[in-house]
Amino acid sequence: MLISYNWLSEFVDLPVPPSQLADVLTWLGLEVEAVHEYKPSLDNVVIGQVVECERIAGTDHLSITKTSVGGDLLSIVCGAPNVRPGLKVVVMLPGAKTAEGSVIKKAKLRGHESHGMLASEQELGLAPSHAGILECPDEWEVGTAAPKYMDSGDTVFDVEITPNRPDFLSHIGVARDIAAKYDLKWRRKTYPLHESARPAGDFVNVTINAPAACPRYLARVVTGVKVAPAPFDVRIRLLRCGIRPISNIVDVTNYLMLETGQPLHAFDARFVADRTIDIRFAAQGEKFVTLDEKEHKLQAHDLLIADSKHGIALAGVMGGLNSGIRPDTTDVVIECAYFDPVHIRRTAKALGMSTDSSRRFERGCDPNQVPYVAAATASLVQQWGGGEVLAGAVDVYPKPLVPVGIAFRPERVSALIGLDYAHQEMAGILARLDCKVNSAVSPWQVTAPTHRPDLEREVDLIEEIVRVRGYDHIPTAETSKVVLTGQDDPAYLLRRKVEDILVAEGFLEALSLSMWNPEPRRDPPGLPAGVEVANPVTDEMRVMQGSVLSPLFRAAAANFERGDKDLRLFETTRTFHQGQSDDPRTWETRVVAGLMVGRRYPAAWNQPKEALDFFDLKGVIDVLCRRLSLDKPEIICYDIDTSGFLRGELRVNGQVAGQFGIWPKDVCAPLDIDAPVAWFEFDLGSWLRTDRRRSPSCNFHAFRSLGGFVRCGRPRDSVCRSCPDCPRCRRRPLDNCLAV
Amino acid sequence: MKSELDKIRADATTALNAAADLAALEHASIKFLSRKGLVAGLFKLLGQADASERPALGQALNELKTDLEALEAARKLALTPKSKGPSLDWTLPGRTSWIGGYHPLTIVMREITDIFRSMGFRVADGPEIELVKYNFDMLNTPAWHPSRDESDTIYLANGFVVRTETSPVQVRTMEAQDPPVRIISPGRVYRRDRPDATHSPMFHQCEGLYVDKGVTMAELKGTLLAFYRELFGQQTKLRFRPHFFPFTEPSAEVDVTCPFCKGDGCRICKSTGWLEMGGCGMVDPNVLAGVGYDTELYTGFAFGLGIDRIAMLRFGINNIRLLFDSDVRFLRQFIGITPR
Ligand SMILES: [Zn+2]
Repeated sequence: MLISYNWLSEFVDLPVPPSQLADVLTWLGLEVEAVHEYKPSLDNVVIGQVVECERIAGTDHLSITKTSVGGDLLSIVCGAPNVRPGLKVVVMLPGAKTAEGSVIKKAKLRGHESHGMLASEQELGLAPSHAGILECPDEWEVGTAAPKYMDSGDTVFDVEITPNRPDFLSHIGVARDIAAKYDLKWRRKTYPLHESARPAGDFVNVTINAPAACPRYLARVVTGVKVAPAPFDVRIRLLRCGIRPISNIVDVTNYLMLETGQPLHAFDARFVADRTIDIRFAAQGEKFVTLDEKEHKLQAHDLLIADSKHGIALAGVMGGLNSGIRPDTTDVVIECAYFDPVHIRRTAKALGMSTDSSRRFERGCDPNQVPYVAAATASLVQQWGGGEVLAGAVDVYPKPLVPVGIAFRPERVSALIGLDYAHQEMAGILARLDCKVNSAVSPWQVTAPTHRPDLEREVDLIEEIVRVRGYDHIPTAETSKVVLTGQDDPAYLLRRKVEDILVAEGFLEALSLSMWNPEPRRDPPGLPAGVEVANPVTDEMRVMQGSVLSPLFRAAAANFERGDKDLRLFETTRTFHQGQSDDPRTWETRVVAGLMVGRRYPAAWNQPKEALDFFDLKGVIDVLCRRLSLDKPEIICYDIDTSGFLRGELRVNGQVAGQFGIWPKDVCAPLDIDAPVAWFEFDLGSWLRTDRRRSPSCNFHAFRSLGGFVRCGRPRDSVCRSCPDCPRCRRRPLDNCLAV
Repeated sequence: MKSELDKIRADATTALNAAADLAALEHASIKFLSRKGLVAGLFKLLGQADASERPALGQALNELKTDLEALEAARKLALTPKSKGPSLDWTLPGRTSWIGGYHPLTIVMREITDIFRSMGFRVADGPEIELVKYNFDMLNTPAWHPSRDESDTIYLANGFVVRTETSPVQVRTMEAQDPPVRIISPGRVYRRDRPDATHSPMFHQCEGLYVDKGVTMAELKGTLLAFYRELFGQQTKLRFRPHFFPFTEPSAEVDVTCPFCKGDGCRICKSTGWLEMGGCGMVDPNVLAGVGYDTELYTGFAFGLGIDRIAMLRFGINNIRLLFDSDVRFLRQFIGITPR
């Protein structure tokens, strides 16, 4: 939301200059994301009129103009698409300075003399440009110095509005909060209204056929208007607040929306069939074309503003292409309504439309402001476009929305915040926020204003008191009061220990995105698939990883390609899995995984240049088992698994706790690693589930052949020699162990 | 042939060991190891050996040759008169094993976690694939809140959500346990942000929660101040700015004085002297009531902070993608940095 300093100051005498307002807004809870300063530099700037205008041959956008500024015609080259004979323009004469700081000089462009520049809003420092050069009102006099017609600038604050504060989507709302904070008076503007004798009710009929979705609908009528541009200052102000000026009638609705937060819509009465407005739900599948020329297929929950025949506006979201203001519009029906936030939100979301109007209705407008805003609209339409305002309004509001009463216990404030506030001060702050406060009873009876739908509970009022009083007043308590309760998550502690061990074993810790895109061309074979996400961020992130070995392998390949060919990488993370086709369940596993590639020892003058092998991998697993005192670990090697690779599994207390193996060079080479890759991936959860023993553990190195020749494993008779003194080994080793 | 091999091994070993000077060593060496020596003679005999025995014999012969050559070299070194200078270049590097290192995020995550643990917070954990109930509903996120949108949040086909914050852990903990609850939940979270230099769809948070009788916002301020002083130095100041989060009421954004310029203003803090650190507030009564706590009896505070940003600030990392690329040139720079 763009908030103008000048506009705010029409409602409240701002306590600080523009340079300090950002801080004020910040402390109200409005985060200022950017500040735009408009400081028109108008020395040597005059009003002119284009007399002749001719495209310069050989260019696609430059024109040479003869422009009058009162005396001799000046020849000026202009690149704007909207330059044309007869147009009143702002001329920056030589010596004038643009907002960006460059000084206008006489120049020669494509062989044509240029004695100045036809200026845009941007170049003048007046407002952001929108359509080439600035088009001046016809009544401005040629030769007049520009400052006569233009203001001295403004400061506009781009603020982030939190979704709980619909009232902040308006200048009045922000002004009201500043007034509350600084204990100032704020004022509404008065819009004089000259109504004719003919009542609006004679002109238009309103029926609400969906009272839950549309609690209030008010129509006003202005006849005989003339569509034209809005006054210059209004157009500039709209531009500064991010709205493109369109025409006086449409600009009124936008202007008052920015001022009051109430979205408005204007219909050309010619296109309201039978001058009947019917607020109803769309028929399922009903087609409707909005102002932006897009056709929508509506659903039965979409609220439509219809005439006697068809829809004329998508309620609260966007007007229809069939009924909007046109250059020849004369009779205008003004809509000022309160729509239910839930309905507008559903429609806007379903149609993927987020408009200035829907954003406000979705968050909650003030139903009780409707008559004031409607009257202001009629007044401005008449001021800017002439015509006759019909008497009164057609206001359908069958069940007025009553603000809820809130029971408020002043002592809860200090209990929650840790600071005592004087009762009188609290009552004052609430009153300044337009709450009705009865502090004579206990608990206090507080009624929040209808423009603050976010105030529903005691705690909401406490927040308001603290916020308006200032967060800097919250004291800083000592933190000596510490309750020790419970234990650290054992999985967290185990994970830390595993990290420590692997770092000590010379591994670098990696951290991969857990979302990726499986591609057989880039990944080692035989890894679990993972879980597909419904709405991936990018195609590269389609799947929650089923194994972290895939991202680790890709990372290793990238490192390999960069010349880092000796790699020991590990990661502690989670993997994600899902049931078979008819099983919708998903689950996740905490894992530690690692890869080893390259040499056995770091390259050095005194280290042998040996490639690592299976036993280096097994050694790491051995260290993990022993340093973690895993219960009855078994490192079981299959010489060749079904896919033809060396592979094994770790069992802890008889339960499978993870896999390890070696992908041979011929598997890795096409995946960009020209060496065998040793890998492991263990389920940390299974390590947790078995009770870990304090006593030194015994490592069984069982060996099981699935056929084929023997490639690994100890000599048969040495299976249990690794733990000669372990009493457990007096038992027979595992039944499936060949060593028996 | 095997017996011949053993005999030559014994004879050669004796002769090489017996040589009293370099000339005698040379003599023995010619006898056994030269091109026409006895060992070479054995290799010629290999061709006549039975084909089935040949591989084993070949290996044994090779071993013999290697062993004798090593012995000859050792004897030569022993018999050579010592020179005046050092016998070896002792400045050459030593023999090391591989040196590992922690990921920068782990370093920072542990630092943060350990500060909070020292303040009596316990580490709690929960799933990354969450129920909508825990990720949104019980955190008091209104049905209309944009964070629920598919444009902001990653969902699975079965309707589960990939958690957008670690706060669901807080709800799960409160459901399982009565007050007092004093926990932090560090972990991975996911949002539907397109990756760029400062955004990653996966990042890391540490959120904290304290619920007990008489917990106040003043205590929240004190806790966070003590934490940030431990993390960034004792001169650190802290301020709360009003904000809105569904989970808390009142809610605040936390700023701390920039540790790089000590609050004077620099490039990192965009000349403001302050760094935005995360959100906090008093746990909304709806959340407490949702887990069955008596909101008249108990109050609580909650806070969150982004680990990735703190790590990037701390180590001067200018692109968040570096954290997740596993480029060892990057990772090696953190070798030797252990959590304080
Ligand atoms: Zn700084």
